[in-house]
Amino acid sequence: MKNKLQLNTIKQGVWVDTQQAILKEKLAAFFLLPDDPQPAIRITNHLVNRMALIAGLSSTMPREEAAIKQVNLKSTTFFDTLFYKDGYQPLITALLKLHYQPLSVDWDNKVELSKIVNYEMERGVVYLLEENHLKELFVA
Amino acid sequence: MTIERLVLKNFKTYTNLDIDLSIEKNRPIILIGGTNGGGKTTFFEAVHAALYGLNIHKEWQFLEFVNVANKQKLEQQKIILTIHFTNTSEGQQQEYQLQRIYLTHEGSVREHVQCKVGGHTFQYGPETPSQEKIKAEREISKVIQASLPESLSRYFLFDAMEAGSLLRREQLQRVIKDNVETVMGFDRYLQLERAAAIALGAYKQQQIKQEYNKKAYEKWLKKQADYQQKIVQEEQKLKEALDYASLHEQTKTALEDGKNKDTLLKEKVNYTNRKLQRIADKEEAYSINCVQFIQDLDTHIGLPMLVKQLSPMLHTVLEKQQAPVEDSLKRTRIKTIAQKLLNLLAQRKLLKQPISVDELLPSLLPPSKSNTETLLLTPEERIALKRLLELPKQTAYSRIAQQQKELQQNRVEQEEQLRYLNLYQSKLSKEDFSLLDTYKANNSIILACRNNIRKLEQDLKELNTKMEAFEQEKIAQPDEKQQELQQLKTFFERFALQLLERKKENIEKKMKQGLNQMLVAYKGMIDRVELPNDLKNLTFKLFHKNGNEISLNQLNTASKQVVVQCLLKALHEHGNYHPPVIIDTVMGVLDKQSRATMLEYFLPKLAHQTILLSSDSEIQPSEDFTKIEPYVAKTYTLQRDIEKQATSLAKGYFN
Repeated sequence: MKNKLQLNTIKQGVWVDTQQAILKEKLAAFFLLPDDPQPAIRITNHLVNRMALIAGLSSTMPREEAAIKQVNLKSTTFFDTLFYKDGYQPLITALLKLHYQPLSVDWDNKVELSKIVNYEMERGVVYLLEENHLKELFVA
Repeated sequence: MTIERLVLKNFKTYTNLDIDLSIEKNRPIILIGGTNGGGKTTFFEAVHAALYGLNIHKEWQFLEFVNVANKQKLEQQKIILTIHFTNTSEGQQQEYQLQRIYLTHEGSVREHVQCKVGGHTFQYGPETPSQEKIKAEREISKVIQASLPESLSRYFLFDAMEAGSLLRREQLQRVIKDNVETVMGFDRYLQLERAAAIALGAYKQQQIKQEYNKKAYEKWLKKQADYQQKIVQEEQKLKEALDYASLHEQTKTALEDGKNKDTLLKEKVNYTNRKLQRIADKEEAYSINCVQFIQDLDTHIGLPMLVKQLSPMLHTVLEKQQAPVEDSLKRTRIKTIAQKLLNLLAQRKLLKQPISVDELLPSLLPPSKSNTETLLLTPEERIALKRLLELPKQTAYSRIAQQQKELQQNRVEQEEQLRYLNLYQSKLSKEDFSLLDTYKANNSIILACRNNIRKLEQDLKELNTKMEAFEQEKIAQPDEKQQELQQLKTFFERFALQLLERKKENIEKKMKQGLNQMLVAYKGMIDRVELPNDLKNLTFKLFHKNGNEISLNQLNTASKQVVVQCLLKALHEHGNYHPPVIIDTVMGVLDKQSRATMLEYFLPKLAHQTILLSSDSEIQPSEDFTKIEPYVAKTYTLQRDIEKQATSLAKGYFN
């Protein structure tokens, strides 16, 4: 098993089209003041995606190969900085290796890697959008 | 003086008004009705303007007076005011026609005045040669002075609502003084007394023998005349300043009141604004905090989530990552020991057959883990995991949440503060308080004039004492002529006082009678009205039958109106002027009972001609009108067409 994992040119999953905006709105709500129709601050897609990935990676549930295979990808890719900002890249790759140790993953396979990353993100979004999860996270 | 006819063209609401105001014997009242905004006050203004002229100079002022319904070009528009009146002079009745025309020319206003009297016509306009103009102006002025001087017009042409204001301390004294001196003609006697004093002084000077003493006395006489003149000038100045103060007293009080309120309101506005600013600052700080927090949302929220969820797992992984190293160390040391042991056994020839360390080691060490079971992490990844575990599990959102809670309360407070702010701001007046400075300056003039008069009178008194001493020493025993002149001066003085005494008695009697009828609050309770004997200290007092004085200041507004109207009536009756009385807002603030008394006793005998401008709620067409009908010569109703913005005249009183 190769121990170097490169997170670049990762394709976006189709989940982005629907789930991203919902999560963004939910996150922004935490900064809304009463009577403010719209938050004064702006949350970037970049930030939403990273939150989704971190949430996905925080799950200890076993990863299922079949589910990963079902992840649909788009032709567009994420900006690489999504994974490299603030030196997060080693943390992400370490966690990916940790969670996918039981599976035989070819980390050099970009499609497989993209599917795994999006699988994590999508699971993260679902988790964050589930009732009270975000609230628990913010006020923890 | 009797107003016979008034013709107005393009004056405010009147496009064309021609009204017959002539009276009949025993029917002195002309009653003109009009609803609010119907043109009653404008009619009143028009009489004043026809007599004394409009004080307008600029085109914009002209536009305030010209009828708005007029569609002519501005240059072609004219305001024409014509008043026809009669006046009795030396037993002869004379007819007058005074016309004033106003028009604009290159931004300024031009006035043409024409007065027709007994076959003569006096007129002037902007193009009249100055000599001719001065002459015409003088003649027209004479007519007005003989009929009703403008300075006295306010006692004859007045708004009953404002009448009570004449009772103010300074003003009341002035009302009586003006009336006694001018309306009753006392100023003539005072002038004669002064003339006699001058003649006496001049004669005394002639009696002085030594030339240098004569010159010294002459100097004193001049000084005496100078003091007297200065006193008259200061008194005139004081009169004007008092007039101004009295005229603007209400405005001044309102402005002062308004300014105090405004100052307080402004302080409240500032305080509220500061509170709102503090809230706005907090919101801004919150916004900045949010932006900073969101920039690192993954660090603040995401990483604690990872720590919380994965902490046990990561500890195990990192421990396992440590184990292979330890195993390797153990292996090396066991190998070294085994080698040394094998070497020792070989030296002592204890080995049956040679054996290598590698052959021996598997039996000494536990079996090593396979590669598939080992997680291969780079050193950077291991460091990243270690660092993650060192992070706090709690998020930093609590500070934002706390701020949110505070701001939520602040928002409620902010709404309340904004309501207050709007309330305070709506209450702030839009007045120009710089006018108060003018009033303040006017008050300084009043004080200065009083001081100057006091000082001049003191100086005059000292000079008189000095002159008297000098006269006793230097002037020989008074001869017959000097005695005559001395007597003449005293005669006019005494004559004026005696005349005043007699008139005073009549005025007191008339006022008592009037007030006992009209002053509802003290009906039949006025014991006496007192006017002083001194021409210089003219005021009056009312006394109750129980003996106590009735304070004029304590009277209510309606009673003040009645007192002033009774006083004016009494003064008019004994005066030398007999102009018509025009009353706007006739009933002012009077209640039903006072109105009834006013209608029955006051108005019918007020003057030889009384023009009343009334709404249907003041003199009611049915009930009230019947009371005065026998005294009414003519009735009219002003009808305003709100679409055409013009007032027309109909005969009858609210038919």
